[in-house]
Amino acid sequence: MKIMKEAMAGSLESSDCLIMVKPSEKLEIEIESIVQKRYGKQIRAAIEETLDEMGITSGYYKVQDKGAIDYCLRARVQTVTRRGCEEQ
Amino acid sequence: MIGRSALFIPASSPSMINASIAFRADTLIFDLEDAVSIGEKDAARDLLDGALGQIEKKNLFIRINPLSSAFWRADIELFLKSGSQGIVLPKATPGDVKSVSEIIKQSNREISVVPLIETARGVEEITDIIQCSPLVSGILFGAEDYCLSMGVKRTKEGREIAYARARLANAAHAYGIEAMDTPFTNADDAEGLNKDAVLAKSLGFSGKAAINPRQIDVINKTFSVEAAELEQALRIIRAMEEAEKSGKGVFSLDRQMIDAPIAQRARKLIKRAQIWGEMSC
Amino acid sequence: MLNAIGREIPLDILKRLKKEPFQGAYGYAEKSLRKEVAFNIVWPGTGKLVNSISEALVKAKFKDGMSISFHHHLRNGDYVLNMVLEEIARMGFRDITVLASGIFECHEPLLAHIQNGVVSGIHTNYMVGPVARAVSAGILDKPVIMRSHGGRDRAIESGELKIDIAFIAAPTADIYGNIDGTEGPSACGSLGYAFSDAKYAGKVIALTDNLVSYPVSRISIDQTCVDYVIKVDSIGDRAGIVSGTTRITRDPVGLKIAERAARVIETGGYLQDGFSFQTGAGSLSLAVASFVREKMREKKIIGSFGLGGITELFVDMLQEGLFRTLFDTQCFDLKSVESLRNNSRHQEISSSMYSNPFTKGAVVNNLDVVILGATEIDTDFNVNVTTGSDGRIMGGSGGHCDAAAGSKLTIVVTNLMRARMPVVVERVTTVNTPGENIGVLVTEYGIAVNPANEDLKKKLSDNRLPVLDIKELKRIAYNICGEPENLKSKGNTIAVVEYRDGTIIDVIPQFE
Repeated sequence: MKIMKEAMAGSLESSDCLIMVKPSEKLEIEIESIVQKRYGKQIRAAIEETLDEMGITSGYYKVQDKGAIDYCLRARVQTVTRRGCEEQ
Repeated sequence: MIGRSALFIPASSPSMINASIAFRADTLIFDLEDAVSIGEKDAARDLLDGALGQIEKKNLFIRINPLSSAFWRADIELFLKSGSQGIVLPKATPGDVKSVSEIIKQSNREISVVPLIETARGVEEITDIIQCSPLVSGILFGAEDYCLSMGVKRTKEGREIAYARARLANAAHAYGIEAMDTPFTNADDAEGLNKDAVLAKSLGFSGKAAINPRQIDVINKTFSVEAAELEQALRIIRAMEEAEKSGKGVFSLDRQMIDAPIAQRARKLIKRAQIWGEMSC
Repeated sequence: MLNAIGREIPLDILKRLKKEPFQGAYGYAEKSLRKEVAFNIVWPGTGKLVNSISEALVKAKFKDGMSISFHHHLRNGDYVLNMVLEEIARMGFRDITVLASGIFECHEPLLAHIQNGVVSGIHTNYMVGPVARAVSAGILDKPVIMRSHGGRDRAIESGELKIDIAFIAAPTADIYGNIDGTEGPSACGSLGYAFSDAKYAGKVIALTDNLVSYPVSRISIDQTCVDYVIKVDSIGDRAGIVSGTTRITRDPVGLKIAERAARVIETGGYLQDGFSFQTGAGSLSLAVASFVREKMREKKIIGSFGLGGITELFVDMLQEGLFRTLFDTQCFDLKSVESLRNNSRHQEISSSMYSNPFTKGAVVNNLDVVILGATEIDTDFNVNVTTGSDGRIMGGSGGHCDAAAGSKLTIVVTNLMRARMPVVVERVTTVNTPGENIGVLVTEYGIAVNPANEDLKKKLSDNRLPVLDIKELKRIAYNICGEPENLKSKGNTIAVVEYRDGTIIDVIPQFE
């Protein structure tokens, strides 16, 4: 799968995260989180693992995290990726 | 078993999903239908897929989108993958129940199908709906859409749904399945909820749906087996066992004839008390 | 060195502050003294009215290095602290220590005074907003001293904390310095936190926007305490003073927790005639109070007193006859201000009477039950309401550890997690209240009882309340959220947390 267009998933509500994606040559992941100091590493790991499982190697991901737990981060990555890969 | 209370949780909201785990509704119904906007169905499925990975599956139901929509096949795929106990089928017709049952019975595990009865036609076809699949373990009444289909105004007192309620409760008892009453929509009115639940119980419903976790306690309390009821049921069964030993078919307790239906009712009650005996807290 | 609850207190801090490490909630008592106060006699024929803050400062012989105090009844609407410091800065004074019982968002101008060297030290009981963030980022060389309400009064009254000038924000004052908090455009109700300042400061200056002729009809702080009175345009912004926005939570999880907490009180046998009760003004605390009210009605209980920051809910309970009395150190809404003004059973008390540990008995000692919150609570029941999980200051004990130490039963109510942050943790970032004073923790996932309270634990279990080990609650939270990473300290101390008895219960390092 490859990111073909801009897409968005999730929200800025508490316990959720908003992820925006757009096409890019390389894989870039930018994360902003209210729990960065306590869970920064785990958040990045969850996102990278999910992208790896989906075979994504390029695309610009911007994650604004409002304290989502891992299952939610993974789900939002899956949704936004599929949305970004769909034909226009 | 659906139990006394079944709480609807929007599958689109991480905070609601996270909170739901802490509540002791007898059954949780994760909702992919009305609570999720058309453009977010995919996101809700992904979210639910992830969430269900960490939740105990017993007494977990998923309300899928209606078969008239474009989403139901993906919903059912998720349902089968999730290992949830049951499926709630909105705007159910006998045909819908049949189609869904055909698909899910291939999974080779015990699954409950709970048709949501929310049209005038659904009420009339209730016996067909129940009979068309052995997977139907209960029915759920949805009064809001039902009233729309009737073109009548929904009121707090609920006279407009008296017939539908009576009909559904009767059908459920006729075929030995559970009947869940429609949710009470004003979450701030605990007294109104209590009255509505007591009424539903008196009509023969076995439980009631909830749209707010604050409603669970009132519902559970109303539909719990009362201690005196339980005691009486236990006495009946003890007396019956003694009567059987001495070879009597019909016997009396407290000068009242105890026959097979009464004994059966007592057994059912004891079973309910065993399963849902603990007050939710 | 490690103190009695295993917190590392740097020796140089103890030495520099001449302090002892925390030795248990009741483990330490200095010689109990009341400070001698030198003051100027006001002779007949002398007035107290001065025209400006600068004139008052000159008359009071203000100089570099002095300490000035403020009270926080005007909360986020306070103009007085900023007004006074602006004048002090304009007059060129330096190296001032600010002793403010609370610091809020509105006190942002304090930052510039710190940067310019006008203010070099802060002592407070509670701190939020830009100043708290800047302090957390190391803006001050001297660590901030954080105290409890009772601890502040103890420090002032014993002479340990010297106030050169106390500034009193006076909603109404007469020309001879009698002050009332319940009248005037900036009425805030009780002035309880300013009583010790008024009695023990070298000089006392009242600022009012409602100057009345002698005498005011209701006296809170009286003329024998006050040196000068200044008329100003406004002492505060009404919207920030008594916002009245705190409502009972509607969050179902919160209501669940609150209802359980009320059942703990009932099951524990505390709901009897004479019941005394304190809650905070948070939406969850209010929900507990509202469930308790229902139970008091049902059982026809007449409580002895309600205590604390007073809200409309407690006023209603007083009027309904569910309490005989309210003791009030601070009003949170207009209805409590009005009640304090009109109802003689609604009594204004000093924060020293409320919570000072070294008196002949504070009102917290008479409490049956207090409901408190927590930002974090660890598996030893130690509570943090001072720093956030990122290590930055965002609160402070206030009366937290005072009420916990005095009350027969202290109940902490909180969600097990806030978004992804576990509230029940292995080790709290900062301790302001020792676990020995926490009886019960109520969360939506279960209730944990302090092992020291076996009887209560049994009662709750017998009544089918979901009692769990606190370690189990922590495990549940970590299972859902993951194990949090540790914060990295930069090595320097930005604040020292004094327990109410003056010992050091914890220090707050600057975190990366």
